[in-house]
Amino acid sequence: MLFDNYQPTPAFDEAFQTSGEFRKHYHAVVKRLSDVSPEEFKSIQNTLSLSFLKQGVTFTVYNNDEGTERIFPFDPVPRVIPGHEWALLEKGLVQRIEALNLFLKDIYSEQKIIKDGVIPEEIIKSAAHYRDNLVGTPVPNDSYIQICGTDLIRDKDNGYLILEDNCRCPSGASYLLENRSAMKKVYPSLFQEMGVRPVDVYTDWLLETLEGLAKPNGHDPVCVLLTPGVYNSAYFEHSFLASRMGIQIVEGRDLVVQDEIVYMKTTRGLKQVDVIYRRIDDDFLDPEEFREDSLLGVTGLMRAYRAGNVALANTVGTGVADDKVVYKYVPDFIKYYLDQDALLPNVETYLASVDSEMSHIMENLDQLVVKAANESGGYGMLVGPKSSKKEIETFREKIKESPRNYVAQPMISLSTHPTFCDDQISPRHIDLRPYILSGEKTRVVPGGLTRVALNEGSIVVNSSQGGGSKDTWVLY
Amino acid sequence: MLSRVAESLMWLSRYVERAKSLARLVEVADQLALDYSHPKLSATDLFWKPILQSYGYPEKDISQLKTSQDFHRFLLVDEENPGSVFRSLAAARENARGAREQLTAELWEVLNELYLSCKDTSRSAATLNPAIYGSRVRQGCLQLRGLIEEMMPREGPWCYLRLGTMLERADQTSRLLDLKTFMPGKDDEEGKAFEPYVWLSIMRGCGAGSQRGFGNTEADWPRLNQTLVFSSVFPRSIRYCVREVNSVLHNLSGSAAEIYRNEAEKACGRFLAELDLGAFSGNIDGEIHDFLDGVQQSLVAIGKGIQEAYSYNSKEDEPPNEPEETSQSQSQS
Repeated sequence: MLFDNYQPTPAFDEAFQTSGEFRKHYHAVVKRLSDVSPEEFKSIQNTLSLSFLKQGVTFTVYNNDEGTERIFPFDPVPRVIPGHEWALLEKGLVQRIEALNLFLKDIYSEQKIIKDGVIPEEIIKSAAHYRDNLVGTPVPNDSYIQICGTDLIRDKDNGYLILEDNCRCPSGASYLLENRSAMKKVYPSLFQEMGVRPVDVYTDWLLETLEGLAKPNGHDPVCVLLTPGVYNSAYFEHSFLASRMGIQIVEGRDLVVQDEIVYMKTTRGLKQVDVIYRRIDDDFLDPEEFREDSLLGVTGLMRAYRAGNVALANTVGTGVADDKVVYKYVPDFIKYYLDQDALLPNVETYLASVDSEMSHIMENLDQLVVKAANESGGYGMLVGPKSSKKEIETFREKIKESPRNYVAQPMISLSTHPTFCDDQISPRHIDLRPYILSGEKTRVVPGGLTRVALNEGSIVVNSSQGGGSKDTWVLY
Repeated sequence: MLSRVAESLMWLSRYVERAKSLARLVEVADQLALDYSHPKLSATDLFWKPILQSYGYPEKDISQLKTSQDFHRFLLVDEENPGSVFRSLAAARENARGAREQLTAELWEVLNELYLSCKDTSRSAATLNPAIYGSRVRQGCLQLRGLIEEMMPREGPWCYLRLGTMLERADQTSRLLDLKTFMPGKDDEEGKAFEPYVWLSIMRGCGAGSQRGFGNTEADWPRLNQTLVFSSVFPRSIRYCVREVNSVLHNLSGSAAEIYRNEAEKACGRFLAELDLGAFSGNIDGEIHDFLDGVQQSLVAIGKGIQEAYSYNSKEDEPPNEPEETSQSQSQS
């Protein structure tokens, strides 16, 4: 019933084949959902939303004086990824994170990659999140990125493509876990029947990864999660993860640095902290070194960090790898450091700072997607084919003014997925954010956050701009 | 446990206790007001104004409220009144958010649900029924208390929750007792006729109305003091609450009962000794209002002592900048 009128678009559909049938790995889901009436389905969705609201699984939207707590809209049609497909994704992601870690180690020490001419020095030095003054500061295990949330999309012709790397403070892992626990209540029978791999290991792996960064100093490692506070939009996630791991969640004002050692203020005095899983951007970490006006950070934290007395996850300065200009070079990093070809390709990218590519951008602006090199969350973006002449011309000026800050990509049609909208199931565009943890070894949690653009035809999946999420089922 | 979290837990349970007590009082007073008609005075003069006075609201706030409905709204759902039941629940929830990883998921859900349902009521209800609103709040708060007692190990977090509950409960009992000061007295015939209602407001307001022997409408003032101030067994008596605070404080510091390690323990020990002595005679010398003022001040002193003892002293906070500089200049020379 629900699927009767399913009309795929020309884009790649995850569930539906061009031959007019559902793909084999979707049969069980389609069968199960076919018995459900739209009213029942709506009531399932309402029950789930209400349960998220009650549990406080919310993020805060600030559009007036008072922040409004919203739930991240959730679509109860699961995305299914067959085991063999996942194996490829996993390999490709591990390869990529390992190369990025080697890259960061290199540019924060010898900078061989620059000397060997693989990437121009200027690009690195002008990246907004590059920290020149951290060159030569060692980090535990030579590991820079411990937690990464890489965004992937799926194109009609090219399969999975890497859209961006999030090497700073990727968020959303709590939704991965909460979505799953909600789905297990709604479709208990499907999990056994289909063989869905569990995602609950995420917090165990995360804690293991964090503890692995502590230098031995005679006590069990003390890890904390540093949050900007209860008013931060992702506070729910922070407290959820801390609680699952059994570590303290602290605000900047709960920490103090003495003799280059970080302590937390407890009811029984000061207690040393070894590892900080920080959910605060570099700029706010320490008013002494970064933004003086930061009230969120801890004075002296960077001194303790440089002295090697506290580990930060992720480390400071990883944002250079998120730069969309640097992104273009990641396949080269994989070749350079690992002597391998990238298993998961990039989206073709043109740099406005390279003359020949600039002219291509200028000539085809109405066909391209232009992105600011250091923005995220869908901000600072031009979608050429969907923009007015005026918007395009405004962007043209911006690009000419600072070519270093812009890149352009062809308009990729994201894959679609059956999604419950307006009482029926229709195709909507989706992406995928798996979570990669890099400790002693690099592991990818079998699953991820599938984000869905709920508005028909839209390709912007960000929660701040009308996006929702789906549970992602990776099969054995 | 983090000092900030300990403080949040204490305030969380304080606000829950406050919301519950006030909701109950409004419910009780509203029901009693339905029974009684005074030839000269209105329900607002008889019940509502004295309640606001006992909670220490300034005269200018009180004079703005006219009908019983105004008072209901002000005390139960007013978003501008920081002492309203709704604002107390909102504050409890804010504190719970900051300490969420110390609470069970169920506890947070119950509190969040209570808050959300009260928020709906306060925004939507054209007429507010104190009996329905009050019972929703009471049930929710009792469920929270039940979860705390059933689920939490008797460790730090439970101790701070307990301290907040007991300190607030003693304070709330003192506010109730003070109704006797502010409600019309028995100077004349009418006052005499009203006396049972004062008695019932207080007894039912603290949930003692259904205790054996307290159901009478006839006022028995000496017994009131014995029960609500000095009883060692009645769980809302001031002495009972202070004794609980005392035992939790010693539990936290690990010091023996007669050893006083910090200002909180000292203040609590002193106050408890006074109450123990008072219990001997069972009488309160002088005006009850003055006595209750003293109670409230002692409770404030204990609260301050707790903060001093268990939050990190900011004076030692300063990183040792100066010694560092000295050693640098020494090594340079």
